[in-house]
Formats: sequence, C-alpha cells, structure tokens
Amino acid sequence: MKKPYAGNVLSPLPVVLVGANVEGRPNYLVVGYVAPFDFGRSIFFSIFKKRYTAGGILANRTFSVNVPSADLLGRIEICGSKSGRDFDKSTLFETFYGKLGTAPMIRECPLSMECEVTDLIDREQNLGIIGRVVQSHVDNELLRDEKTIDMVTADLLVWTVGGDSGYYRLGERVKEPKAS
Amino acid sequence: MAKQEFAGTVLAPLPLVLVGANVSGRPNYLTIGYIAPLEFGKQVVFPINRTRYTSQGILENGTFSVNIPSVGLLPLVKRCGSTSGRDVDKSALFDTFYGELKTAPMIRECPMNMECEVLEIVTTKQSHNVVGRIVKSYVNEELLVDGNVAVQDAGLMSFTAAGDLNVYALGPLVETLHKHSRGKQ
Repeated sequence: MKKPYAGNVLSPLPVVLVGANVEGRPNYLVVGYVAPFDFGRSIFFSIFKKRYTAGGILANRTFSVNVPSADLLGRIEICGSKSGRDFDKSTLFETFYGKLGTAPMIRECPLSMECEVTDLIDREQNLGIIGRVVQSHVDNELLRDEKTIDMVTADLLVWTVGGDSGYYRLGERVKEPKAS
Repeated sequence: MAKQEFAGTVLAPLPLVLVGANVSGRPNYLTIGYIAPLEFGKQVVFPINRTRYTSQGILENGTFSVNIPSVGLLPLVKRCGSTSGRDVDKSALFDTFYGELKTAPMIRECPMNMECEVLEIVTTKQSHNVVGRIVKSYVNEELLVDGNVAVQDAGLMSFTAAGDLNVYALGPLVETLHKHSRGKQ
C-alpha cells in the first residue's frame, strides 16, 4: 500500500564540501544536492544564491568538490552551520591547489575535484552550477591502480531525506545474485 | 596526505533510481545514477541523452517519475539500465501505478516514488538536463512512521562510480541531523 508524502524522497545522497576562494581566502560549504553530469565529465550542484561561497564561484568561475570521510563529520557540521562571512573556514582544513590555481581543495578529504564553471541553471532562490571536472585528486593510499579507488577504505558518508535526516556510513557491498 | 591525480569525477556514493515515463502509451523505466534534488528539495534535475527512448516520453508528456529501488530489485535495476525500451517491454518487469499526473508511471515494488512535471529542459554545452517539480511523493505505508520515512527500513542502496563500481547497502547511522535546523542548500 502506498501513502502520499509531501516532499522529496530521493535518498541516500552524497555529501560534499564545495570550496571556493572568496575575497582571496578559501571557503568551504556543505552541499547535499550534487550529482555528476555529462557522463562524469562534469558535476552539478545547487547553491542558495545568497551564500557567501556563491560570490567566490561566480567571481573566479572555479570551485572544488571535496568528498569527506566519516571522521571529518565534526568539521563538516561546523562548515554547514557557519557562514564564511562570520567565520574563517580556511582554518578548519589544510588547503591545496591544483591546475586551476584558484579552486581551493581540502587535503583531509580523500577525494577532491577541481572544476571550472561551464553552465548555470538559474532557479528561483537557488543556482544550479555545472562545472567541468578539470582534475581529480585522490589519496595515494586509496588508489589500487590508476583506475581503481578503494571506496570502502575511503569511509564515505551519505545523508538521507524524507524526515529521516541522518548521516550514514556505507554498508555491506551488495553481492550480485546469480542470474534471475 | 599525498595526493595522486585521477581522471574523471570521483563523486561517491551516488543514488540509483529508475526514471519512469510513458512512451507511446506504455510505461518505460530507465536506470539513472546522475540525479540531484534542487530548490530546497522541491525539484529534481538529471541529465538525459536525447536519443534515449525514455526521453521521447518525457518530452511528449511533460511528466516523469523517480522511483527509488530497494536492494532486492538490483537485478531488475541492472536490466533496466542495460536494455532499451525500443527492444524490451520494461513495463512487464514491474507493477505500475499512477498518481495525480496520470501520465507518470510509478513502480509499486519501489518503496519510494515521486511523480514530477517538467519545468524546463536546460540545454548546456554537453547535455540536456531535465528539471522537474516534485508534484507528489509516495511511500510504502509500513515505512511511514509519525509522518517521517523510516529510511533505515527501506533497504536503500548507493553505488560508487570512479573506479570502484559497486553497489552498497545503507550502513549504520553516524549522526542524526535533527538537532540542527534543516540547512538550506
């Protein structure tokens, strides 16, 4: 039996820290609406237009997407609860830069991508930003070979909607049942 | 931590859904792994290849559905992702139901469903992206507890792209977000 529910039930979702230089200083924002686009060559995320980070992304036309591990949750929550207008979030992490030079990335995150803005989807209160992934950066110890990342060891997080609203670890790998 | 360069996106883990549309009057379901909510969860957006059989239906009707499968449906999810509705009648794989929109077929076996109407199709340099308004969501009755979705009992899964390519069940709760006000994205 189905029951109607008001609101989004797309779950679980990835959680990332989007980085941008704002007035010359790295700033990091927690974003929970993010997806690869264009066969994985680009990335989409949605940001509230009034966000401090949005100004930096539009000014530089670059940003980073950093995928945190579960042990960073305390710092994720600080990033998600404070604005860069009031709090210097560059002190929370060690920042590194890649090819673009203006997209600050978080060394403590096992997976990072530096991106350049290619398209904007302008909604009412939010801006959808699509960026080309210029270069990804992965912790050495997670690379099994040049094409394989050990995502179990990376210990990533997902979050849930539908009134559940929690951060979860990944569970068991689902074994493919024999041909059904 | 020393870093190495890696080619392509490394965003993970990702949701795995079945997008439904009526094509020539028959329900069709396509596996989609690139999809995100936007506008505070009132809308969803996903890129679509215009040559897809499903896109015809989405364009014809201006409606579609997003169905969130449980782990037990993985073989059917994979079949929907590897065959085209041009060749295989995917409506035979599931029990279809309709909601308010009448033209957005939803999968009864999936614990969670959303019927959506197309707001716009944003053409970017690389792709066509469907932006839809979530008109109504549907949840299996036994999963609705005090007006919330009991996500831990829904058997949900995530997949990893980027050189891992596996499907994982939802793991243990690390922390609830209820102590915070719901952050705006």
